[in-house]
Amino acid sequence: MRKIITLLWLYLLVLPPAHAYVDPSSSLLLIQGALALVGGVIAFVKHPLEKLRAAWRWLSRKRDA
Amino acid sequence: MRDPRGVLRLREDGVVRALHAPLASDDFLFHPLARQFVAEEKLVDFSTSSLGSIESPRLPFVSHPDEWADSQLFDAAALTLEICDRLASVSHELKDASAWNVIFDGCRPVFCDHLSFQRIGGPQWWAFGQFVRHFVLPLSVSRWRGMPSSEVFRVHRDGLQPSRARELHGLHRFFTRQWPLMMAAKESNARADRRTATPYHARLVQFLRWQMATLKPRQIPHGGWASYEATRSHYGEASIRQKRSVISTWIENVRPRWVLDLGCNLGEFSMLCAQHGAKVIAADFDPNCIDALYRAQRGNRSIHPVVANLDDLAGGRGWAGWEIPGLPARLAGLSDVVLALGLVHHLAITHAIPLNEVVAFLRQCTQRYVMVECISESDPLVIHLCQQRGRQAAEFSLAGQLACFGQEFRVLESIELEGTERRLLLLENFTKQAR
Repeated sequence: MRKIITLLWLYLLVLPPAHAYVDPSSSLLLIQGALALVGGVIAFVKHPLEKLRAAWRWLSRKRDA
Repeated sequence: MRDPRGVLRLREDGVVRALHAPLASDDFLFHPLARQFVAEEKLVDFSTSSLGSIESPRLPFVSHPDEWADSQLFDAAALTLEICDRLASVSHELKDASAWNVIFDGCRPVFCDHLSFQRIGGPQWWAFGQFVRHFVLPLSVSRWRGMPSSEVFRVHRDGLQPSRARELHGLHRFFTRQWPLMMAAKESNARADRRTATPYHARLVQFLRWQMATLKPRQIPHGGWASYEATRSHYGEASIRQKRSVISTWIENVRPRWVLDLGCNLGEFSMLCAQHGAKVIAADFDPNCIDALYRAQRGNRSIHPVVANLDDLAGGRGWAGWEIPGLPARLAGLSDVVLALGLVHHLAITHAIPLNEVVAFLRQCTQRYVMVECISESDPLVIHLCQQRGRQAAEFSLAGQLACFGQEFRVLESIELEGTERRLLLLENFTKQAR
């Protein structure tokens, strides 16, 4: 695990520059899923009870369906 | 200009977006949430009397992101995120998340791009990258590298690219929350994640709010001109009170609708004019001063803070230099009164602007009156500034200043401030009066 993290850090440090004809912000589309996951964790941490209730309601709907 | 859905036309009394195709019956502008945004003053009011156009009232003065203090950009970001969040709850999104979609009605941000709303078409939010470029990265560079966001927009109309942000931050970016947003692009096509149909929008808003939490501009103005009021030793208490009293009396007599306060510092005299019912454009070159003024007047519609360096005002910007009018064009003839208090000697001595050019600029900005503070050649600050610039104080004599102003203005009143070498002048533009 430590090796994987070290490799990831090295990879991020030596990323090559983007080509001029690529919208540099397009890379953010690639990682939106990961960023949304972080956002979901943040939302859960801020309002855990609310999120648990919403999850319970969603599960109940699935079970009833 | 660049919206493919329509053409923007500015009229004297309003703004019209002429659409290339009529609005669909299920367009967001017909949704109750759109009207709720208007009622909460988060969206500029609009009418769709004809499906082929959208009409809105026109604000008399609009400032641009390259003229905002950091707190203004931060509030514009917060407004954009709030709108995004509430749109996501009704399956809509913003097509673009540009800082230029927000305007300030005084010290109150309001969203103005009525064509930016669309139904969510996929899990990804395409404008996410634009939000990062326009709001997150400029505020990050200001917070961590000390470059005000107004300076960023002066060079980069479309916000700060991740690669540029990376260069400005250097390795320090890894100690900020913003580092994932400065990653380089490895591929040119970004495919939507098809494993889930659930839109990312609400969670992305949460992520962006978490990002913005560390970028809130510092509350305490630090040094420079922001501490001028507390440290001015060239005024005694009596002369400051006299100055306030004179300006207050003049404003009360003139009753201007609009005042332009050039070199407003923390807005002491801008607020004085606003108390008399005027709308005030408060301009200063120091972003910290404008930031402090904006925070003190948040929500106030009467005061329009603007970061503007008179020594280096841009003409038009954008496409072919005419898409976005420069500040001089937006200021011309708007104000009934221009305040130039403790300003002229800085322009003439520090920046070596010929006095007749300063006078001509003031004439261009005012419809009728100018209230100017002239300083005599024997004032210690004038002597000090001249020594720094290798000039002779005698070049800036009071008689010379009066003669210069006299070419464009009539002196209505002249009052010497007690205990100082300073004189307040109430001037009237006699060339405009003759019309």
